[in-house]
Amino acid sequence: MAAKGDTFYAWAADAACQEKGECGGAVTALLTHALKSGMVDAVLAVKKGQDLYDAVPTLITDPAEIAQTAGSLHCGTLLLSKLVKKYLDGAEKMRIAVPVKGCDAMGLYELAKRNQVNLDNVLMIGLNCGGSVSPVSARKMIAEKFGVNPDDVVKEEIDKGQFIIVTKDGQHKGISIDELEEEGFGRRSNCRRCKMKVPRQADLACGNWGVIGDKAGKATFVEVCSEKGANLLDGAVKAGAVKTDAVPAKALEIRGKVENAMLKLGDKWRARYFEGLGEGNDRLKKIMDETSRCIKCYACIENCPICYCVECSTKKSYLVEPGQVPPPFMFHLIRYAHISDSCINCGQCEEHCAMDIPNALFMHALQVDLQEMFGHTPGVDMELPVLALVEEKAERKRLSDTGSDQIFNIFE
Amino acid sequence: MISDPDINHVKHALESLEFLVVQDIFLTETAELADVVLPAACYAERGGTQTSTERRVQMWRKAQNPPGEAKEDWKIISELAAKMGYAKQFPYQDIEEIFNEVAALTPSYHGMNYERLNRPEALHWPCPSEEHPGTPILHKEKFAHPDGLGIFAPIEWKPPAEVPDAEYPFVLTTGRILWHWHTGSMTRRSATLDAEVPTGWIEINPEDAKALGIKDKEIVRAISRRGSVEVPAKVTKDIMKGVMFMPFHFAECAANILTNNALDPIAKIPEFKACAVKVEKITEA
Ligand SMILES: Cc1cc2nc3c(=O)[nH]c(=O)nc-3n(C[C@H](O)[C@H](O)[C@H](O)COP(=O)(O)OP(=O)(O)OC[C@H]3O[C@@H](n4cnc5c(N)ncnc54)[C@H](O)[C@@H]3O)c2cc1C
Ligand code: SF4
Ligand code: SF4
Ligand code: SF4
Repeated sequence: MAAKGDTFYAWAADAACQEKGECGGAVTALLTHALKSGMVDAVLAVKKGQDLYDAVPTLITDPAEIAQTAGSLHCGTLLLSKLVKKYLDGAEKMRIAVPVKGCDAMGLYELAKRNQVNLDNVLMIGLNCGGSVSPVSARKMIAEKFGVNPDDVVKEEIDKGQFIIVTKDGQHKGISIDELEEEGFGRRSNCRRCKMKVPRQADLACGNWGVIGDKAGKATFVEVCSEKGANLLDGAVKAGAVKTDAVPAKALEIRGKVENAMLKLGDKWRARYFEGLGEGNDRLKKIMDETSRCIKCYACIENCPICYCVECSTKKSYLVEPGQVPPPFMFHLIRYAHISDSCINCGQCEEHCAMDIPNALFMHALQVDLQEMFGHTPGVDMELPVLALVEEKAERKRLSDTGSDQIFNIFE
Repeated sequence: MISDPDINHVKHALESLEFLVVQDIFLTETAELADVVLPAACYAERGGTQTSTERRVQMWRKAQNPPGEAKEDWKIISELAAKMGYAKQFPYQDIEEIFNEVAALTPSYHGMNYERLNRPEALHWPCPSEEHPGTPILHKEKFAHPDGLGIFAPIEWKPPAEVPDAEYPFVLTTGRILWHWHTGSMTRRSATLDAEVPTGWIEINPEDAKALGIKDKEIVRAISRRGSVEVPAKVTKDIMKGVMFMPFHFAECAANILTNNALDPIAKIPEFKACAVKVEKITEA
């Protein structure tokens, strides 16, 4: 019987699933088992759309369709969390299994704190994540750095610090991610700063780090992170859907080393980006300059997993004068005030920004400062935030009753 | 009834018609004057292609069925044609067939088909053959003249048909704003856009406003030789002295009641951008 903290090598028993999966297809087999066995009513996963730069979220209720979602799409910069809230009723009426990157898992926790997602009904299969590459920049990078037509690429992977492409005539080409990133390509900037490499707040954490020897590339390293996760894995093994093997001690050590190296790299990028922002007035000026390009399209608010209010304050005419572009700076200040202590650095507000404003950088910088001040880490558990609104109605009532706009009394 | 110049004249013309049919997705100001309104499908309710001014031919994909009695435009036209006895000439079963006919008959579309259009960049005409990559930029190496050189012809400046005088001392120019599109038949039905900008205005330079005794946000009367409208003043340095600006999207203060329908001799574009107006304070209670 598996228990929290246990680790396994796992792969799909089914040969086709093994082949289609990224590293032995364990995740696909687990999802299929969860659906077949009735543990969940549906699977929300990601499949290839027009091409491999196009990651499409898809809701599946027929186990036969899960195979379409096998394999990792490293240009899949999408966030699944808010889709659960917006389109699946916050999993209120449906039990859903979801493969989650660190940011997907963190977003689900933050939405759960705000009663927007019912985590009891969500089965999270965590994916270790080294980072994702935005589709536009990936195409440009492949054309300019690899000298290959992006439409001729049939597979991309990230392995041993390299971004590797496979072309339709079978050629492999890899370039080190460090080199790509020094030249402005590679992972999204929020991914560079990300330190949620093994999502242990999910039910299982799966990845290829630590898979060595003859299993390399053919099995996935699974860490059991909850009782739910243990039940899924046990059930899948018992049903003959997934095969497991013990993890060699050396492999565990290697995985730990890789994870630490990734965390250090995250720290390095944080220092670099945050220093670039400057401090105090310089930082404020930089933020004001950049946000003066804003066209008030609302993509940042629409896609942020922390934004959930029905009555968004940015739409109150006494706070933000309507009909102005760029909107008054108050538009952005409201978001900094409401979101920053809970920002999970998922990058959506930057990724979707029509004006390429580095919104995630600004918010993440604030979040890291606030974490230092208040000791609250968003996205890892159900601890409530210090400043952010989690009960919109109660909070709006309090504000209107007291006439105060103080969310947190710093003078207490 | 909103986007044409001299709306009073447009109204007179439309009301004099024997029979007016309007096909639209909403009951617009023009549709209200119609004898028959044919409810059409909006962009998300129909497939097909659209060619933009940059000559890009893009595919549309239907996301859902039109509501109620509404139908896709090509179906309305085909059914109407059949009723008029032209069923044989309009035998279409789907939109791809129609596109293939367009491509077969239009030399600059010969190389286009749905398979080729099914990608984000789509294709730009001219695209005369299936091997042709399309032409995103026209006249890149040479112009269409036999010697490959373009001909540039100077044009003598001519004043607009109507210029300011003692009675109508200001130039009125009109245009669009960011938040609304054209007649507002779609954007003014959006609660979000309506919250940003609920109605129109007339921009007046602070010096002109001072001389006229007009304050910001005050409702004033703007008058031209063709009509008058009541509209809130927006006193702003963004507009030059002697010139006023009105967005034209708003039926309740329609800029085109004031505009002049003088036409460009070749392009036949009306002089939306310049006519003469005066502005008065509203004094009666
Ligand atoms: C963007 C990304 C980066 C990764 N980086 C690392 C890493 O650095 N180190 C590491 O050890 N492992 C990483 N992984 C995990 C690893 O690639 C495999 O997914 C894991 O080993 C499971 O393999 P499998 O064969 O069992 O998965 P499969 O059976 O192939 O299942 C993969 C699952 O991932 C889902 N998926 C694919 N793309 C996305 C996406 N963009 N967002 C959310 N879900 C997605 C699919 O829907 C599918 O359910 C990454 C995964 C992703 C998606
Ligand atoms: S933010 Fe973190 S978890 Fe999310 S895609 Fe980037 S690296 Fe992966
Ligand atoms: S502010 Fe931006 S980076 Fe932070 S959680 Fe929201 S969308 Fe993600
Ligand atoms: S996404 Fe960018 S442009 Fe749009 S409202 Fe947000 S900051 Fe402004």
